[in-house]
Amino acid sequence: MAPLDDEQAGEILARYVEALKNAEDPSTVNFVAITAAETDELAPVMKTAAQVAQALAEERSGDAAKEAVRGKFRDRAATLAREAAAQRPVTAPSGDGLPQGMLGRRRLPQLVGGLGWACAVVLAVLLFMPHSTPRAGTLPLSHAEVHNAVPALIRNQVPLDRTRLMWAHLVGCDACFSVYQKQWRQFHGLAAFPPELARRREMHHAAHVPHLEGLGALFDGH
Amino acid sequence: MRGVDLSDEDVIQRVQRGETELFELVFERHYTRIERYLRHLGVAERDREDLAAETFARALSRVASFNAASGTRYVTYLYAIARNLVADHARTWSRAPELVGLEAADGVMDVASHRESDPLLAVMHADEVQRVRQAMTKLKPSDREMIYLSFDRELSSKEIMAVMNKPSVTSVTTHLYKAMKKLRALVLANEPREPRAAFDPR
Repeated sequence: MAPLDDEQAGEILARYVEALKNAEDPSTVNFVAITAAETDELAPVMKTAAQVAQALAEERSGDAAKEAVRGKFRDRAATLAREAAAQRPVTAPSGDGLPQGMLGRRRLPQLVGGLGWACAVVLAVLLFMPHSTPRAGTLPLSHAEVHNAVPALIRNQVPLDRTRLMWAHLVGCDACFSVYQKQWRQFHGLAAFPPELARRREMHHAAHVPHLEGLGALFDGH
Repeated sequence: MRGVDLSDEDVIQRVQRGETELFELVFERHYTRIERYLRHLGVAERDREDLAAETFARALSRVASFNAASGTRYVTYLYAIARNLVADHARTWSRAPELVGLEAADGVMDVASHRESDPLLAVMHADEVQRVRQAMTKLKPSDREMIYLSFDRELSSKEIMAVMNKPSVTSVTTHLYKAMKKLRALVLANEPREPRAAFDPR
C-alpha cells in the first residue's frame, strides 16, 4: 500500500474542513475513505477534525469583556488619532484625521448639509461658467460616460474638469440627473433628494434650455 | 446603525471617506473572531482585552492604507494586524507566554445541555470535546493558529496563507494536516484507558 504524502493528505483534509465549517451541524458531515491508505491514515485525522469543529462551534467568546474592549478601543483610537494629527505638518488639512471625541457620531444632517453645500458650490460654479459648455444642441459626455462616473461623482472622486463636464450634462439631462439622484439617495441612505438642490438645478436647467435644443433626440439612448 | 447590509470592504471605503463612526460595524462583526483568535494564539486573558482593543484601534488608524480594490478582504487584514501585535507583544514578554487553557470555564458552553435527550451521549460528547480542547492547549501556537484559522468560515486557504505568511496554499493545507495529526496523537494520549478486568477468567 502506497502511503499518502502529506501534500495530498493536506488537500483532502482541507476540503473536508471546508465542508465541516460550512455545515449547519458538523456531526452530519462524513468522510468516506476510498483507498486503504486513506482508511488507515486519513480517517482517524478526519475524526479529530470533526471533533475540533464541534469543540470550536461550542466555544464561546469572552463576550462579557466586549464592552470593556470597546471602551479601550475607542480610547486608544482617539489617542492614535491625536498622535497622528500631532505628527502631521501644521499646514496639512486636519480633515483626514479623526475628530476630537473619536467615534462621536457625526450627525446625518451635518453630513447632508456638507454635501449639499458642496453640490451647491459646484452648481454655482456651473452657473457662472462661460456658455461654451455645453455647446448649443449638444451635451458634454455621453450618457454612458455619465452613468459610469456617477458613483465617483457622489464620492467626490472625479477631477474638477471632469466634474464640471458631468454637471453640465446633469443639468441638461433629466434622465441622467434622475440616475444621479437615485444613487445619491442610496449612498446616503436617504428617502428623498434635498429639494433645494433639485430646485437650483431646475433653475439652471431652465437657463440652459435654449442651448440644448437637440436634447430630446439624445434621450432616446436611455 | 446605517450600513448593516454593507460588506466590510464597503464599510471601510466609507470610513476612508470620513464616516469613521461606521467602523463600529467592523468591531461588532469581528470582535468575537479576534478575541477567540487571540485566545488560540495563547494570549493570557489579562492581555487579551488590550490586544483586541489595540487591533481595532490600529486597524482604524491605518484605515487609509487598506486598498479594497486589491481584492483583499478586510477580515484578513484584521487578522494580520492581530497577529503582528501578538508577535510584538511576545517579544516584550520577559518570560514565556502564559498559555491559557481553552477549557477555561468562561470560554466553554455547558455542552451537556445540548444533549439533554440522552444523558450518556451528553457525557461522552462533553468528554470528547474536553479532550480535544485540552489537546489543543498542548499544541505549538503555530499549529493551534493554523487549526483555528482553518475553521473560520470567513477564511479560505489562500487568505490563511496571507495571514500566516505562508509561501503557498499547499503549505497551508500541509501544515493543517500535520497539526491535525499531532492533535490526533494528543487526543489519543488523553483518552481514558479500558478498565482492567477484575480477574483473569483463564
